[in-house]
Amino acid sequence: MKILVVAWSNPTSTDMHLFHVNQWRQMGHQVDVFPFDLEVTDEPRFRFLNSVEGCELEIGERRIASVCKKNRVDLLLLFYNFLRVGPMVRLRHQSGCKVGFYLDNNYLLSGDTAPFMSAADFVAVHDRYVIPLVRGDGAGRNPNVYYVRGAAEPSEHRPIDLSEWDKLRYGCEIAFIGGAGPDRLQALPLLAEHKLRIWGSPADWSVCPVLSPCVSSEPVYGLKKIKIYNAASIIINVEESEKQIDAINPRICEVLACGGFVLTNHTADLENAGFRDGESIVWFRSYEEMAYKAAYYIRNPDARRRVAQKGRELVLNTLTYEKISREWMRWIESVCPPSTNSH
Amino acid sequence: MIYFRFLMERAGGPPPHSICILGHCEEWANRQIVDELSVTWPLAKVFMLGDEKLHSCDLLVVPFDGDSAADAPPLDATFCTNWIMIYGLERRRIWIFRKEMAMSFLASARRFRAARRILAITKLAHPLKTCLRIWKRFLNS
Repeated sequence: MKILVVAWSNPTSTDMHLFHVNQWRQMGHQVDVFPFDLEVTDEPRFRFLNSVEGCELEIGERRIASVCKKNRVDLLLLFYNFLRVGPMVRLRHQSGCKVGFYLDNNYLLSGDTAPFMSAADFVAVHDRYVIPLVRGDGAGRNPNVYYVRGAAEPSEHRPIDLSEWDKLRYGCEIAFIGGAGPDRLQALPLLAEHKLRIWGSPADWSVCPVLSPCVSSEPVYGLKKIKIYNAASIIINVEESEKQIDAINPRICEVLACGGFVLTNHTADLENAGFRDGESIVWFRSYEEMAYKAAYYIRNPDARRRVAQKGRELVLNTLTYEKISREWMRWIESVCPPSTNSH
Repeated sequence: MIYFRFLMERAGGPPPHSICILGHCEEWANRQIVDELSVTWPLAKVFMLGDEKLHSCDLLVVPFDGDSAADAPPLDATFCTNWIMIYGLERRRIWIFRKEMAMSFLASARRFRAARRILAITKLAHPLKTCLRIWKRFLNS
């Protein structure tokens, strides 16, 4: 299949789509990536026009449609709603491609999201919780819904040797990577008595004076992220409940693949995937439990190492992109058989 | 790692054998860029430049602060390199282009920033806004 993947490509947000693309290419698909920020948002001409009158969406829609027609794309896979429903339906009619939509946060009620999910050929979700809300044959539901678990890429997410400088820069008792939100602002102050390091935007965290001194604004992605996973005693993962409810965040898999130790919110799907509290991961159901477990595992490095080792084995056996991406693509092939565009 | 490989592939360039980085004032930034490039292309020789003269290289890395590529330092046509990575630290925007395209990209970014200022001073923003609104209405009809 000829596939066009449209995604934000700021490396500090996510590089997940690139790992999927790698696997799909190895499966023999011809996959191109349209990085929306580089092609539209930060392209000087369009940035200028958009600053005069918001028109990023219209420009993006035209650019995506043009690439689809030029490359005779079979499948347009959007990692955000970069198109509105009308232009998407028109594009599908004109170019004959199928359209898939990946919902990466639970923003179902935002803008065009719901009608877009209804009109797409399939919907992939990062959160199992939303499946029964979306899947169906009536009332605008979509019959084709697929759940994509988070995953790791062992060639990139791996244990590494750290220099003394790395240990000094990235080492800490608890590390958090990401933006602030109501849940995180409630949870992380309970960990401030430890050597806590937050990698994120200081503006986000400035509302919490206890946490502000812990925040570093340096961009984190690629090797630096791997070093943090390797250097910190605990990587804390606090989900924002407005974004996900029953998901496996890719960060969990990445940290474990690096040999790191994860303390995370409990989700039912972590259990479904085979994780067990205190054996292959450590989870919490309340922030008090989080604080208690953080203190315990900081004091017990052997227990930490044991859990991290089991977690790593589980991720390498079941939650790699080689497995997750390929299963997803086989499902896509089953709901989107190759069209005449490929011939 | 995967991100830089993606950028180079998007630019249509081969893996570089030699990389020069214009030094940034922050040590963490220099280390981060060297680390990332070295692990992405392990066979490449990576040089960090201070005030000394630029080596000839396959890829020149130009870090900058600020939220727009217009904030990147000026590029000189005499730089002996094939590819240029414009490396935004603040908004984490990174581009790779052939040298000529990189220079034209930066010139374009500066031109449009100047245009924005001119619009603000001359009040021409309003008619342009009206034109864009008409264009959007036409597209949506």
